[in-house]
Amino acid sequence: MVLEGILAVILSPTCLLVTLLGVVVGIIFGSIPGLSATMAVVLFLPMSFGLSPVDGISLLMGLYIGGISGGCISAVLLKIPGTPSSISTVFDGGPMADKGEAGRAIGISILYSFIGGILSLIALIFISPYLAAITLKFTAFEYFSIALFSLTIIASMSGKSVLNGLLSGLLGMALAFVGISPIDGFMRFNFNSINLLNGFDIVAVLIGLFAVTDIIQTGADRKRLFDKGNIIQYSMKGFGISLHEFKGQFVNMIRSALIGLGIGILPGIGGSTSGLLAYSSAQNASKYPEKFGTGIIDGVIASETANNATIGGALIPLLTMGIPGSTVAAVILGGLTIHGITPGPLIFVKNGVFMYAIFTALLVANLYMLVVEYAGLKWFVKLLGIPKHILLPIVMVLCAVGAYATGNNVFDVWSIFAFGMLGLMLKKLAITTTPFIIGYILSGMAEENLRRALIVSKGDLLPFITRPISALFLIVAVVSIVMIVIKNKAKRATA
Amino acid sequence: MSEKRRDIIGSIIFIIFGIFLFAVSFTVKTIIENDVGPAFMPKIVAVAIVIVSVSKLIIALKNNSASYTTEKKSKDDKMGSLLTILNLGAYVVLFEPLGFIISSIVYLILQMIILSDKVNFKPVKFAIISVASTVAIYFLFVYAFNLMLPEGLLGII
Repeated sequence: MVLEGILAVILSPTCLLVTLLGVVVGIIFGSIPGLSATMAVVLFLPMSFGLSPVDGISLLMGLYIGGISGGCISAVLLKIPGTPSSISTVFDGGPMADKGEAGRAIGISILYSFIGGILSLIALIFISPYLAAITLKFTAFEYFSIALFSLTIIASMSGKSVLNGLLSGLLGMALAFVGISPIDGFMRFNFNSINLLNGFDIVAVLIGLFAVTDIIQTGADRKRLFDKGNIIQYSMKGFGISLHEFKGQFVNMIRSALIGLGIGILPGIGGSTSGLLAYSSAQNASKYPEKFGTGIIDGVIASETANNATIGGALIPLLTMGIPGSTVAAVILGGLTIHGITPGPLIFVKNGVFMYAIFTALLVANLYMLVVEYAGLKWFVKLLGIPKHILLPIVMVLCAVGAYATGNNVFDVWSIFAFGMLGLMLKKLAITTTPFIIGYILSGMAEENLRRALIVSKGDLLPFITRPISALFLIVAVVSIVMIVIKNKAKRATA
Repeated sequence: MSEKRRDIIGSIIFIIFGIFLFAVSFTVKTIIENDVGPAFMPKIVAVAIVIVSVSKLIIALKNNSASYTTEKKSKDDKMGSLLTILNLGAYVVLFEPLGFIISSIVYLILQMIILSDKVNFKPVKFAIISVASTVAIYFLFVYAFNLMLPEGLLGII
């Protein structure tokens, strides 16, 4: 099974080629501010349907790795993060570029993106089979508690307001009710429309919220579209780090990778937080914290190691429990389901070959990223100059094609517009959309397991708190909400 | 709009949505015995939405701090967003009747014009890029990925 999975990737020229394509496109999307890793994966999701499951998912893995890694190029050269994950790379990458060390900053970013990716892949390979074995014992009670836990964690971690986060998550759950209900297959909330029989297509929802909303917003921002930063000159010599420096940064590297991994495992927090957290931890632990922000390699290493380590972390709960750790992971979950692969405790039993193929694809994608981003930097930098008023409309056309291609149905094209407008409304109300999408995805799982649990217990709610794992997740869910509320109160009191 | 007014409007929208969801849930029937039924979860979510948005409303009404109530001028270019929304709306509506190629070319040219300023206003360049990218996308999807795209008017010819 292990060998079969590895060979399915390595011996297939198509698979190696689409993974390369994914990495290249991912780096382009990651490096251009305004296009994100999420957008890259969303846009290519429909394309992956036409491929075999292993090829399709390898393409998505390539896009994911490339998308997160590409952000450092513009973070250093434009001082604008190409993707939210590299916000903290700007802090020291920008000043390094000012000192004439732009090439060194990018070289180090690429190297540590690779290291972060590989360390998290190792964690993924070793943790997920054990976690899958534990989750085998889970019943409907545990699954419902985990879904509830995920939703509250996301709501409390994303954005400033817990209430807004909760509303966003609840709205996502509500819209997922449209169509056929789980267990009994009852048709609900379709208002006699044939188009709503199967609910809203997840791809259309994702494209709408994560691409169309951004494109509508550029309309409101059109006058600022042309204030692009100047691309700083750079020269590359190796990866810009000596063996001595590498040894000196070893602790920083391991700590940042662990932070990235941890944040990745927790649902819905994502790359930008992990980069920021690793950066501040590196600063707190440093012997020279005052030098952070003046252009030292420590900051760049912390940020880039952590954001790439988030990838492997996010895939752990995704593959073993079907819970997405980030928005990109949520999109990949959509991709897995469409290819008939159900993430969950049985994944090693039912789709074992496939799991090892994913691990191999991740390794291959990381290697590609290291080589392609380093060797092709010149070309990626050229693409940073493409004018946005030409690029974004073309991305919109790709969105429409992507939505239409999912089901050969024009209703999905209308849906992306509707969800784009919904995303715009939520942005205007200062409500973040990440909880919405996690709510939308987990709604079915939460409902199915709650109802199944209540059928088993004959309506008794007690097992949810008497079963230890279920109780643990519910307690953490409540504690997370309470802690954030207390923290916000303290903030308001000091403000 | 001040942050206070924004939060009040937001809460009211969600309260109305919560009540609507709760009301519509009564049209959903339970089939399986012993099961709480397909209306159970929607009702819980509806009640949760109403509780959360009412709390948000109360907090917003109570808060009268200066920064929360000051009117903030939006930096948004209203005309730019309105034109973009109209153009996008027209595009998705005409996507099938006009077909992918015609609707996309028209959308692209108009959108590029909407987003460009005086310096970057180059209609001929926009037209060439629009036609070339639309045709490239069409061939890529239809021939390389074997996907169907609506032919619309071009299909009749």
